[in-house]
Amino acid sequence: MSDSNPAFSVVLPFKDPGAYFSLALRSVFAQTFEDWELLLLDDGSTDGSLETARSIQDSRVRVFSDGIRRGAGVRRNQGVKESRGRYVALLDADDAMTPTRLQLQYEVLRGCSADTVVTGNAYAIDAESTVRGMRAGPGIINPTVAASREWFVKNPYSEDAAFLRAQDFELWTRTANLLRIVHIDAPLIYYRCRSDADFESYTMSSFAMMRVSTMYSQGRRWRLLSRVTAQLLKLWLVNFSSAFSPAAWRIDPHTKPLGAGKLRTVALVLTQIGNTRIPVAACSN
Amino acid sequence: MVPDVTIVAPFWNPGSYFELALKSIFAQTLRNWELILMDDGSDDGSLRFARSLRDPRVRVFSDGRRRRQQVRRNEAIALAHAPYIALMDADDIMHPRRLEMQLAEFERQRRVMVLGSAAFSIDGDNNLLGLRRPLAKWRPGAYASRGAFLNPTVTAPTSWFRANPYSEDLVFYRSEDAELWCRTSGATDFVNLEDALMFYREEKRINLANYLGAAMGLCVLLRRRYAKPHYRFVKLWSVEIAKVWIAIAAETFGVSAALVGRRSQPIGPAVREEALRVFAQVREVELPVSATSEAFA
Repeated sequence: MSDSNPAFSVVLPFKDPGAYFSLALRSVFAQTFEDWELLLLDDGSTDGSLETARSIQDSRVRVFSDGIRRGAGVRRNQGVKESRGRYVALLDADDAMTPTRLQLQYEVLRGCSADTVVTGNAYAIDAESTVRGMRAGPGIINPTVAASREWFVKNPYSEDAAFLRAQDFELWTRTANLLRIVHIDAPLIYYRCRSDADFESYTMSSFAMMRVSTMYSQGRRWRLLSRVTAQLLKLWLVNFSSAFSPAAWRIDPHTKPLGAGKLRTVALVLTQIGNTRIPVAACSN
Repeated sequence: MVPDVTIVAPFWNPGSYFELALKSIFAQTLRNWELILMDDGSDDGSLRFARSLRDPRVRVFSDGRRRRQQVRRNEAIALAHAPYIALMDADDIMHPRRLEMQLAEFERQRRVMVLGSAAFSIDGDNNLLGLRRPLAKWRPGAYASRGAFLNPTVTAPTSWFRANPYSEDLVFYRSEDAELWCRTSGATDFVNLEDALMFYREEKRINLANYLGAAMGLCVLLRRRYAKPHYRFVKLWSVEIAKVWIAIAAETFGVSAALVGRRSQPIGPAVREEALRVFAQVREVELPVSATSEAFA
């Protein structure tokens, strides 16, 4: 690699990602666009993933760890601060990127102003990495986001623990009037939709979203009340029904099914990503 | 000499409240205490103020980082020398007899328990608002929501706290106390003294940020620990959700002060006079600060 700064910094915080981590890492090495650096930000992992991260032998990869848990928002901000790329792409440790993700986003970002945020669609994958369908929302799918480094520096994630599960929602609500969104109508990532962590993270994100609603209500009291009432009713119903039959409500309305032929192709690409080699130290893995 | 009790006080930017909190410790009738002041990344000058205290019973720790108070409490508990831990918050004020009366209760009952007390509630300007009485009776395994204990009134054996540390899960960043009581209530005796042994700081209105933060933790706690039996889960869950709705609605329409007021009971003139006398007495305590440090405002 040359000494000059890379085009893209991939910011990837991780907290005990377990078996999912490998696919996320491989998906970076599988990119068609090669002018990237990868920042791996440990958030107090205890499952050996920090050792996995440190075993990677590639000058484009940097690992940061202070051993404590501070939340993904803090880590993403830390990653942006440490990044050297002109652009920053987000990724989560249980997701993975499609091989052309950085390429596609680079083409768009190159011709845009610094306030542009480029988003995209996502394939939904389950815990076994089987593709379930495609989703284009709702709203911004956080790990598909890429923008100029400058934008992320100006608009950091909230470091308040209240937004633990909705830092993205807080950021996009806060910056709604400050950014230009360019949506690439193609899948950029494989997005992990797990059922085992559903209720808890759903509860947490509901509260964080209510908090955001109360913060940015701008005096529109009845609108705020109706929104919060709807959020609470939904939260109540989800947990109420799940207490009796855990499977009943696990229908994801945002994921659209894919045809059999398309599913096969996507699965094939995913297998290729899974087989991508990561340069690791000889003693590890 | 081994102290009788270690006061554990984490602090993060307590501002002007800090001085009164410290005075109330130096006003204690029981004098053989140890105070652990655990900074949580303050940047308002309170760390400097803490370090200016000249008393061998006071120990100040700081690593400059913000890690939240449950982490700091666990750290302080690990460092304690005394057989008992008395919790304390940097914006509250102890009654001068707090330590004496709680340790006497341990002496009298001679068993392991978590011992809290009632408290006078005060507002940000030190006005007396009323009396807060936490639950007197506990059923083992019962759900501990807000107000089961007033956290800074709690004293318990050091060994108990070490066996039952605060959860450092960020989800419980505003409900770490409820999480601890719920986790331990099956195997621990909880007692609240009837006497008001603390002046407990309350905001006049509901702080939605804090309220939602606490509610988030409580709801996660309900799912984790109280999902069965169904009828109880549905009841607790519905009550918690309804409370959140009421809190947001009340705050949005500016009537939450009435809800906050309902938490405290009114107090009679004799009790009020006595409380004010004690409060004035605490105010007059002189802190042993080094001459170089300016008064903390």
